[in-house]
Amino acid sequence: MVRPKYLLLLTALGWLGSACTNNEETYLPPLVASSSRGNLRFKGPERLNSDVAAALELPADAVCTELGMYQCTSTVHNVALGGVEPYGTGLYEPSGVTSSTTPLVVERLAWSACTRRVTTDFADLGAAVIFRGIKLNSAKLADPDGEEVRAAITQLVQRGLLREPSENEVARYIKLARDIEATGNAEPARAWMQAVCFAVFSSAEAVFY
Amino acid sequence: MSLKKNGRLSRREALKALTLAAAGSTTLAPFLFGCRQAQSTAETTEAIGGRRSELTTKPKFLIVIGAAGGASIIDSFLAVRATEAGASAAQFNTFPDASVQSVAGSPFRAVRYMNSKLGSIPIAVNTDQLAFVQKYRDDMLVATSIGTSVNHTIAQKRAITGNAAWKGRTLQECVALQWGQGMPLPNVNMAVGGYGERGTDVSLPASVYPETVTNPSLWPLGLDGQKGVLGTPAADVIALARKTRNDLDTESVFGQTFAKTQVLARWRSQRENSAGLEAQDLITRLNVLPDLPPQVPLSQYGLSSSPDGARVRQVFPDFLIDPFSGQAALAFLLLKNQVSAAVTIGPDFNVKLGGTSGIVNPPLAFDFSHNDHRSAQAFMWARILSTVDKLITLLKSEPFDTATGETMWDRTLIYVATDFGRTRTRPDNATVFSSGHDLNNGFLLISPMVKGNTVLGGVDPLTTLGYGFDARTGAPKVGSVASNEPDIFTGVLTAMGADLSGSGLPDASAFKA
Repeated sequence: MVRPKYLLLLTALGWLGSACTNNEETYLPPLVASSSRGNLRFKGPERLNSDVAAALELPADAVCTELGMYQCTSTVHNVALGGVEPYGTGLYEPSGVTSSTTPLVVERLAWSACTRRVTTDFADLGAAVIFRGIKLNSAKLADPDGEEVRAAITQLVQRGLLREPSENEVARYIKLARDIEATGNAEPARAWMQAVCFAVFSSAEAVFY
Repeated sequence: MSLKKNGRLSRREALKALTLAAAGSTTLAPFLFGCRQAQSTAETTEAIGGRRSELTTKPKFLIVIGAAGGASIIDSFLAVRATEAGASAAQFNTFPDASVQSVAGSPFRAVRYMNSKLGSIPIAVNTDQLAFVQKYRDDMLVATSIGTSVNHTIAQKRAITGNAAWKGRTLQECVALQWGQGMPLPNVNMAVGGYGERGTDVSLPASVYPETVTNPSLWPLGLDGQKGVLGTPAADVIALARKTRNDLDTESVFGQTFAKTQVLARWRSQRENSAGLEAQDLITRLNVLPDLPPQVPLSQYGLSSSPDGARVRQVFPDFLIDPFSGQAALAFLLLKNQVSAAVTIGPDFNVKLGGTSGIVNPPLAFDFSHNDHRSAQAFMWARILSTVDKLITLLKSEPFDTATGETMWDRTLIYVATDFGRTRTRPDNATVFSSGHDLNNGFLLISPMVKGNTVLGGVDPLTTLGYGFDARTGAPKVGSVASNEPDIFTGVLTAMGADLSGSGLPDASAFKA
């Protein structure tokens, strides 16, 4: 049996440890279980390009080009996206980690693909791939909370993240539409389409697996 | 707790105490670990060492030039004349006396070489190292070396880690850690093979690991998330889109499931830091390219050339056809704009056509010595020294601190790293011969921070092999052929004045000015 003074000691030690206010466990408890392995991988240039191309129904070589002619994922930003360059610099193996410029390159790719998709969709919303049937009131969304907008969000998340959107996500993206309108943007509907597409395809969930 | 008469614990008491200690440590450890993680800045700094001067001194800069293939020191600054080698002159790599020029008041030598062919490539090789040595001798230090590998990639890596002299860190990582912590991209690496690898010390902050660049002319386009992409929405919309995405990244099931992974932690950190890259407009400031439609239609895409672009292109006119020139141009801009503290460049193993002779880079770079040793070494040394000269000229013209009159060059060290030396033997008096890989060689360091006009070690003219030196005193150790990779590694850092406390590295005071 442990003597009371030892119990006191253990209690004191426990209190001392818990007094450290910087333990992550002491606040913001996760709503879902945290992965015990967490073996995430970055998609890499080829997979990223082909996933975006397939999701947005774009030709693979039109997803992203620099200066209109230099392929982003296979040429210009291949290594920043975790690719290899065996013939020039003898980089035979990918680094395995994202680099300082990777997030920016992902954003360039997402903007490039999304502006292209939106340009085509916007020209004929009735036959649009993603934003089909969305009604406009001048340059604004006629009803940011409408069924067509929700359907477009669902399309994007299904195509980009291969799952249904959560209610929170739908609400966030609808709020994004209202926030963009509030900026006084001259083309808030088009800007929202680009922005919501960008948000989905540059999300961590879209680029890691 | 009762004690025995002899003052010791009884067996029962001792077991109980141990049990309690174990229980206590189990209880306490996770909390203490949590505290350490949350408040780790000072401890981490202590553990990784060498960051004090980052806060207290002005930055210094390191340029590593990976002279791929094996740049032979006895085909440059420590060349041997035939008459010095006695009877063995005909069998070893010695030069006709007239080809090895002395430099007044200097221990360095300079090779003059002429040939009508570069191996089987029908171009003339006509090089002379004298002007370079005369110009820079007071900033030059040559240290003889004995490596531990004649495998290209392994030897290249060891040339930048001192064969894991300091926890496997590379020189570039050490410099980035010491002086580059406040810089956007402290360590940019454009070189090949082992010169392009990161070190093996996983305790270092991710920011000091190399940012690999394989296309120096187009790489700056990746330094902004949207500039140059046509049709993107206005900046305030982009900010809203990013905020929505970031919020959802935290709130989503995916984000919560993997919130504690290193991968996502790094991703979040890199995303936050990337705002700094955009804010500094590095996509413009580092852009060597001119606005040259239709191949380079910068203005059509809302982009523009660096304010220093014209000047840099004038110095490195072959920047588009010669990757090494393109790397040097970007290296200068990275240092000038204090984007990086360490940059690494170097020729690769591929043949590059162009230039006045028709060949910019021979196949295998210095390793073309397998085909024609003398011509390959002469051609490649000229290529390296020409680039070094241009970089120094640019850095000298760039003010660093107007109050002190310092230029960028005053705070920069160029380390010409190489894989290894070359074998010394040749068929009797052959002027065209092949060479293999040899551990025996030497390295060139150039900087106002090194002990200039100095050779550490020396070459035995009878064998043309180098011998070692005492890294603390600089005294030659004739006959010593012990490996000294850590000495070279430490010498670079010592010359730069890096904080090496706790590193366990040898004293290499002999390298410092």
